[in-house]
Amino acid sequence: MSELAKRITITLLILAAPLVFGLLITYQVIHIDWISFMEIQPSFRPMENPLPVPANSVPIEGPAYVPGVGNPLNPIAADQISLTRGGALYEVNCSLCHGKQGKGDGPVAEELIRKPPDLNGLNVTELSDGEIFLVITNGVNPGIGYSGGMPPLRDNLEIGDRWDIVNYVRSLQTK
Amino acid sequence: MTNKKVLIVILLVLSILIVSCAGAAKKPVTHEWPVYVQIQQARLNLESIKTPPPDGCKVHAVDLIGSWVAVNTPVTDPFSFTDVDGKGCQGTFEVDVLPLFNTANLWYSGAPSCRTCHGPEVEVSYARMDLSSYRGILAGKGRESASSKGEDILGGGNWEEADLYEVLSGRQMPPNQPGGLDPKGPLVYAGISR
Repeated sequence: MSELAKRITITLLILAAPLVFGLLITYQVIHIDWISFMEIQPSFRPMENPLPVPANSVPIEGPAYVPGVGNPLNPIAADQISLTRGGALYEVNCSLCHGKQGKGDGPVAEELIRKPPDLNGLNVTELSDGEIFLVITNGVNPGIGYSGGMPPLRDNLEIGDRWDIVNYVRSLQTK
Repeated sequence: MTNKKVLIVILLVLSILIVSCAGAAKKPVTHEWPVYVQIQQARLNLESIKTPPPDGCKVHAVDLIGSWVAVNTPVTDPFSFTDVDGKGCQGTFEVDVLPLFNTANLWYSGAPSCRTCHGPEVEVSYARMDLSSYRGILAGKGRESASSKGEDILGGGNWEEADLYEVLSGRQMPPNQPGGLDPKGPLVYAGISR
């Protein structure tokens, strides 16, 4: 090997060394437990309850209802789009307890101490859309433990999604 | 590049073209999942905010129910009460008292209505009690069936000894109340001044 080739090889090796070292750290082949600033800030770990929403904060999609003025009114027409969306969301979020037809016979229902209500029964059909919306939003007696008390779904579903589910539940009742 | 190599490349390109054409000829798989692009924006409906009537009275919800319990008038018969300013007023059970049991987001922000848990199907209602109607409220709690009567919740006309008064003024109901609420309940517009 000529002197020039040797020099070029050495230079390339010197340049490649930090690159290879960086890659080894990046892909955690060499694992260094760095302290990251994201790690030391207030946060919640997987499977922990989310942090409570700060007082008087308004969701990015706007408030769900005006506080203390009575039943919120349904702003979304029960058209085909709303019912399709509501059906898909119901399937994911509600049917495990309430059953596919809303009869309170979902696969999880038999494990619960307090059975989910029949959504086609008088106790639910007589409720206004706004009352059903608030049940989805805040749950029913969640404070007594989740075995039978419906958990709040405000963190799982956006406002429009909840109204779509209300429309879908209404459509189940008319069947 | 030799002729053989060129031939192989041409064959390869042709086979890719044939395979992709065959794929395109197949019917595309459709998904049942809804089109999420067409989300409807849930706009806040402000029609729920009613303007107070000019001759209306302002009264605390617990006091209003108490005034009705004291006289226990039938559904549409008027009963008298005094509003927060000491004004003499008149209301009816149907128009002024029943909505306190059948309206959500009233006792506090986001509160469920009483009938959400205490509905007309007493067999599956909490405390086997129906607070959705005049008949149900009078029938009381712990009922066997929709036709049977249970334990009185109105204190036999003595409001301050009533079970209903105890849970409302003790702020046990509606459940999960935030702190700092008035034990007399929310201030509502009800009835008309005499």
